[in-house]
Amino acid sequence: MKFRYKVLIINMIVISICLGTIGYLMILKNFNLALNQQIENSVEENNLFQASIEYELLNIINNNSYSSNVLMDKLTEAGENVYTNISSNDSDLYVAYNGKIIYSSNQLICTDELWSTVDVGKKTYTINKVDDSYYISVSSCTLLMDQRLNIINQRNITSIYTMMEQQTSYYNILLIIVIIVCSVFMYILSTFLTKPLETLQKASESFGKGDYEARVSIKSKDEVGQLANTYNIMADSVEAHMDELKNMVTRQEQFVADFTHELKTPMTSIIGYADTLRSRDLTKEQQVMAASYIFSEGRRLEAMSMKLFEFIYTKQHSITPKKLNTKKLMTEVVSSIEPLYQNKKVMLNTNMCNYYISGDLDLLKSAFINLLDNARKASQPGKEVIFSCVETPDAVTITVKDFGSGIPKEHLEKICDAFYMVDKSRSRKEGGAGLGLSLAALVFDAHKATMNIESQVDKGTEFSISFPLYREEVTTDE
Amino acid sequence: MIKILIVEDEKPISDLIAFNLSANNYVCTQAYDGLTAANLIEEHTYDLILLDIMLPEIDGYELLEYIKPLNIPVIFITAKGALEDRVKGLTQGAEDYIVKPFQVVELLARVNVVLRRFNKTSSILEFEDITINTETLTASKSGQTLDLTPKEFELLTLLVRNVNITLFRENIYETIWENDYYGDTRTLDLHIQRLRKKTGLGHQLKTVYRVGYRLETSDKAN
Repeated sequence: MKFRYKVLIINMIVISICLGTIGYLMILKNFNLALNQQIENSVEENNLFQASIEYELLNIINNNSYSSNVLMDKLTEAGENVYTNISSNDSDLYVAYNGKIIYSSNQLICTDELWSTVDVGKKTYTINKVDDSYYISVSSCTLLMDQRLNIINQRNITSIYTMMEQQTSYYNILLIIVIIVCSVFMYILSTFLTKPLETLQKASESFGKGDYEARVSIKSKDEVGQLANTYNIMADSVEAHMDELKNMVTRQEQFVADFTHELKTPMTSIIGYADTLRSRDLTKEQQVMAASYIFSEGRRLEAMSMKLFEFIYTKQHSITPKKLNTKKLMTEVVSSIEPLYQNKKVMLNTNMCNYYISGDLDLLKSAFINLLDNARKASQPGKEVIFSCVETPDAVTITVKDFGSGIPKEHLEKICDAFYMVDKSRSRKEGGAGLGLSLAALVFDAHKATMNIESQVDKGTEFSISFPLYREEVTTDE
Repeated sequence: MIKILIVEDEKPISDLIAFNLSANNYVCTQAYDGLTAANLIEEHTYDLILLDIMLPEIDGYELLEYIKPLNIPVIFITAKGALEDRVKGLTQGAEDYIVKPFQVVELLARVNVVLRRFNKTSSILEFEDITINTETLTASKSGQTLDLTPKEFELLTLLVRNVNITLFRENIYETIWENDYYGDTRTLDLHIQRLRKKTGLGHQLKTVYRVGYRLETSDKAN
């Protein structure tokens, strides 16, 4: 069941019970008050009748010598006198003497018990119902000539009962109307209150179905607002994770696709030339050509597998950073790469510095060798390559700058992708696999270093790598 | 003369294709990127274009769109072996698809099939005094019809199409019998023997020891 219906039903039950109880108690109290008033009035009236009859009797007794027969007649006479003089329309008077009614202005409704049970000098009352009408009868009792004299008055009080009934039915109608109005109001209110919950529920449902962009905009500051906020934060982080995963999968797929392409290219040549050699009669030159293609493509495959091994190794192993002296790093890099530079007659100018960074010597060495090798490949013989180092307040920047062919702008952002080559044929001739720079970028990234590339076609390229400074107290390395 | 344009950015592979096609008397032109290829297509007419998909400048699919209105058949040559890539190439209008790495015989066969489909080659094959009609499926020697079974006819056609190329047993077997090769070549050996007898090519239809067979022109055979 929906939350808003629960709220609605619970509220309706509580309101009905409260209003019903209050109404019932009010009507009851009202009725009791009216009834008491009637009783009081009747008693008062009875007092009046009693006093009047006694007065009449006193006159009779004082004036005449009386016998019991005369007394009866006189009593009846007194009763009649009193009734006609005093009584209002709605009450009747009865006089009973010695258990017998000797005067009645109307038909008596109450039973015999009324005058037989009343103690002398006291008053009592009963309420009787006859044919949908209610009557109150008050009886007083005095002793006259050792016999009981009862003076009874009777009033019709149906009006207070009908009033109660009217009030009840009126109240019932009122209650139903109030409950209906309240229901509508509560429904609107609870809908309004649960609307954000529903929005949230819909959003999380579509989120669950894979729409990772489902968000809610609930501005309220209450718990629902907080929940919505928490949901949005959760959705953001899940979406970010999903994007990252998707990205990773795409990158991996791209890598595998590039890798198979790179693998198949030399394989095609090797298989094709070998097939040609075994199937055809070739001249000596043709044989040499086919064999040299097989050889060079085989070498290319070998170089690629080495680089790939290095690439996978770097990717899978987290670095164990150690305190590292930049001078030591640069010296080792230069000593490894120098023979290649001498072979091509490219000058390598170094400008070393003595700072400390934190990193893995072997990985950084191979990364810089890759950069310097790229610089060498880009340079024509006789040109120079500058390998230098500067310190800024919180970083050490090592720069590799060449004055060679440069990198066209449209290639710049892709050059760090695995297997990407700006000039395939030249790169192949130099034995490149398109992995060197992506390998270096991977290593620098693992060291939290930032790589900045500036390049102009035919003017040269500058790779600047900024390492964060080693932060501990500086002690001499080794 | 059948003119073929090879669009392939890897020089070794481009050379490999050109070398093998030239040896079968096709005239080959090589282009190493899409732009050069587009320019060549504009200026010259070709009977067939062999097209790599991953090309610098303009890629194979784009180039295919450019070639389509010219009604020149295109065979894709690519390392992308995935099914969807093949389907994409074929639905875009390529005639056939060769996946790297490929064998020379496969390349020649596919080129041949596509050229025949476009009626670029005549249905008459000739080898010295033997004439093969691939439409009527008949062969004759010096005007006299040869009585060949369908398999023998196919075998003769394959050998004549690949003159001076050693055909490996497994290749022949897979091509003619369309079965996987399990080392049993007695059927093949029997067909070769009967073919030698029927065509009188016993001298030129050579057995390459432990490898296969080769049909040689008489100047080479001697």
